[in-house]
Amino acid sequence: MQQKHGADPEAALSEADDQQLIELVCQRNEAALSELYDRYARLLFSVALHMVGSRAAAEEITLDAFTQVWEKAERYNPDRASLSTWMVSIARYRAIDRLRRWDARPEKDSVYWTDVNFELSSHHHNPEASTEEKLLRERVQGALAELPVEQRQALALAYFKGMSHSQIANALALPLGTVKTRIRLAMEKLRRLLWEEQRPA
Amino acid sequence: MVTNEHVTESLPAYTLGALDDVEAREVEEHLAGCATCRQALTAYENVAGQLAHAVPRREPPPDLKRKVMAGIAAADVTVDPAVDAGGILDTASGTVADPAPTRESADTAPQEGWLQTLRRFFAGPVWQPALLVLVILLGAVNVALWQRVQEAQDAAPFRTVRLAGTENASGATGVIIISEDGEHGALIVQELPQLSEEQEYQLWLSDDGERADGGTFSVDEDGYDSHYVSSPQPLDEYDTFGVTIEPAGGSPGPTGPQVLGNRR
Repeated sequence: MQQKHGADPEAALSEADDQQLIELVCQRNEAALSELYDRYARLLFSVALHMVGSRAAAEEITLDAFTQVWEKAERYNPDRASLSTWMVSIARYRAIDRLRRWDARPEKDSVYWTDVNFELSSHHHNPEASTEEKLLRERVQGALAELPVEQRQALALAYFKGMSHSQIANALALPLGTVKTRIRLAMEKLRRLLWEEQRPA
Repeated sequence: MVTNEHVTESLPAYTLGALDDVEAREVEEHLAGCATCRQALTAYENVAGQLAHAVPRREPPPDLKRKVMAGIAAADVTVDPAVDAGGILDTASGTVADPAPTRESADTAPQEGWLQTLRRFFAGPVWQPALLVLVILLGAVNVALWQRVQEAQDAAPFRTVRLAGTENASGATGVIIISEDGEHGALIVQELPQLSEEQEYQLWLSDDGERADGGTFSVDEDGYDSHYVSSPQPLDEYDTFGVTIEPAGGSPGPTGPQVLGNRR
């Protein structure tokens, strides 16, 4: 294993920023991947679990996602997304794949929107969560709370269940055009709240 | 939709994966040539990434980290520099004179053999998706296969473990393809020397030093073989794979020289 840094590589890694870690992963530094695991495994596992509802499946998705990070690290483009966004998207696509496969099974359950809604309260906040993590969460929940409930619902079905416009229209018994509009308006508003207003001028 | 029209209105749904396939393809075609829409896409991708933070946090199982780290060690390519110098990795750097020969070329024959063998192995229902992917992949020259199998992993419902030749078989390479559930696998080797009638190759699977027999095989005159791997435990529970030369029929444990392995 390469060690680019000086005497205490363990300490150096916990101090390293995400960009430094992913560069080390590109150089096949297993300790750097281990550090990324410590930072983001909970996030990826939580997203996967929320989507697929099975701990075993969420575990496999998380495992696959980190394997992908290891194998495809050089594909990460820091100009395009934060590392956590990139990693979450890997896990999300894996989860969607799985949901679609399950969806093909005849015994599939109907989707209840309460199962997939975004959590808007901090009631069960995790005491182990870092301050930074809590702030992020409050910010995202605050932005989601500004959306009309019907937009939030359509968004949650797309984001967490990987449902297409037409599947959502079927599930909610709504016209296709209505679903498209709700999702577009929801994302446009979130873009203003979570992206444009957050970027340094 | 005409691809030179901006796809601004479709980008939110595209980011979420909510478009149907035809719509998504149209968006992709447009994005390929439009920096403005790509920039807008970046914004939506970041929003989607942030939405993950609204999910209640749950702790992953405590042993998951060990599995992740064992998995990357097993999937990693541990290539001997000697193999590297003359081996498959040269394909990627373009040193193969003709990287894309046509089906009529001299490379076609072993390629066809691969296809037929793979078809047999992947004929069962569990392999149907893998079969489709592999048949597409194998439409290319065989020396490019390894890279392609690796590259295909995004889409493919299987994992690959790559094996490199040891000093006893420095031109040899191999790959073990493992189904997503870990229950099924195939071993494919190339450039292994043909053995005498009294000898066979034997695959060994090891999990934390606990070794299991993965079966015996021989190679054809081209040094190829591919066969279904049977193992006592699901294949994804093993982290080390090796091939040795053994007396015909196999041995209870490895006795002969090792020719392939995924780690050194």
